Amino acid sequence: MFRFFLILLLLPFGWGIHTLHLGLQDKLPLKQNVNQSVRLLPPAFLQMMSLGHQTLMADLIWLQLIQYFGASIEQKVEQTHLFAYIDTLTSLDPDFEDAYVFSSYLLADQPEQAMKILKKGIETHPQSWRIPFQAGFIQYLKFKNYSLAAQYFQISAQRPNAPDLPNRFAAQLYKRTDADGHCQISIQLWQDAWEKAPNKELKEQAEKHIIESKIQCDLRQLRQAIQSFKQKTQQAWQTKQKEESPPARPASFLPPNLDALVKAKIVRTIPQDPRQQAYVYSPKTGEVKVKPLAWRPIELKLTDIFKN
Amino acid sequence: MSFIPLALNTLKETIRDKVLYVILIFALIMISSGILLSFLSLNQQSKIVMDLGLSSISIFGLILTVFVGTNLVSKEIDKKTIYLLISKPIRRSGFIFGKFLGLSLTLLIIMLAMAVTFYAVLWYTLSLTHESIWTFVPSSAMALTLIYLEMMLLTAAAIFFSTFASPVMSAMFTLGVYMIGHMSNDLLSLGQMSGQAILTQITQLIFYVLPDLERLNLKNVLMNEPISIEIFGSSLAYGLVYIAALLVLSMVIFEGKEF
Repeated sequence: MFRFFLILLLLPFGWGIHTLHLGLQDKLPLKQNVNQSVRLLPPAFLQMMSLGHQTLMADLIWLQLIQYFGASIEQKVEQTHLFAYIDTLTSLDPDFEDAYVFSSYLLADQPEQAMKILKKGIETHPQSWRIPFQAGFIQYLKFKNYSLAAQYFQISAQRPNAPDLPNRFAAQLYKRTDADGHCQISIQLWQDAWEKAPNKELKEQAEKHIIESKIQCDLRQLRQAIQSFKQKTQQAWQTKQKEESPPARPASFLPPNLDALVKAKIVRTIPQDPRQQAYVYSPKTGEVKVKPLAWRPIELKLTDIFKN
Repeated sequence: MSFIPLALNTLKETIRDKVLYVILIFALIMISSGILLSFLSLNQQSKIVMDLGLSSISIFGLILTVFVGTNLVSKEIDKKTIYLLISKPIRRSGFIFGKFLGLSLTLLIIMLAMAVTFYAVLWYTLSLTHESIWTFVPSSAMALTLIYLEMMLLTAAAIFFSTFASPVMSAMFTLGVYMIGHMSNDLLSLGQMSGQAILTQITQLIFYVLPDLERLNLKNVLMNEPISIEIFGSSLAYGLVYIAALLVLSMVIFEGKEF
């Protein structure tokens, strides 16, 4: 009977505890301060102190990171500790591939920091295609460094189990950065994309890209050759100016036609476009063009491809 | 084979210990809490459940080993039951081995209970994301085997310490072995970084003499890398040989002990 009385006594005690707790919460609410100073200890020290439970510690930091990120967006405060969180967790668990990929989204407004994490991931995950792919995207979107972006996409494409996408992105960007003489790499990558294309549409698209890249290469070569011809003839004329009876200045130093480039031994042959049609040359301006294609030149935006 | 009845008796004795069940319940709650945490993990469900489950098993296994293992020998001495035992035709070394075997069996039962809960939680979590549990079974089974081996090694260490120290001291020494065992590689690096010959030699001594428990820790690598049979076999052999050495050392001390 006394035991029953004691059990009954628990009910008012329980009610009392709950009421007091609620009262305390009202009087002294604990602030959810996302800007609280997160003093993460150095990763090396945490690793030592984890006593073999590094991955669990990394998981706990991951959970905290998600809460921190969500709360900082909700409260519209600066995410000053994001990099510290991500750097610590990837040091504790370097195999945590998703952390590197996800971090590049979290650190979208801090692209330098994002690149630091991604570079770390590229080193620790030589089998992952996703990490260099993200690095390519950061270079493309944030730094507008298309050449470097193309290099990262190419690294991604070369990794095991990589899909077709990074290869196409790399090819597209190499084509875009033709000023750096990347059209040959672009052709190679598009050929690779053509071979791996899973359907007719993608094959046809790759084919068009190969043609466009080939044209770019040819035009680049011809423009360089025309410039060389111009310099060569100009120099020859200047040298002859020292002679007793110097020749008159020609109307133009430009080649009269493209075959003049072969005669001057600047190029071996004049390339034809992939449709076996000759390039159109204007001796007045020195411009060289391609006859119109049956399609509008493809100018892809990688973000659009990504959306699709 | 006089150690078999002793081992069975130790099993019965430890299984009756209520502390064991309290720790086990806490362990099962911790392992199951992986389900809750996985909901907050943003597509990392399997990783969180695996890491939390295996770490819980390892930590609670350590607590069990320390609580139960360090009392095994001293209890017999305190209750004076040791006089009864050594007057029987049982070798003292048989007594040590019997105690070790009995506690190892208890730990095996506890370990199986925790492993079943762990796999149930993992299966449930993976079923939510339509993943197959069989992808994770081989590597996690290897990790669990090595966690059990680590527990056995710590049991052997606890028995070794309890042959000459009080239960409190034995518990502290065993915990020390666990901590240094997981840190020894870092200590070795720190010693080398210090540039002082004496410190380097001391840390080298610690590294080679004390058990390198990181060799028995596959928890941190099993999510990404397939563990080769060679590494697993070498780790298993390392643990077993170390256990044998600790037991022999305990037997040597216990054989020379006067009551």
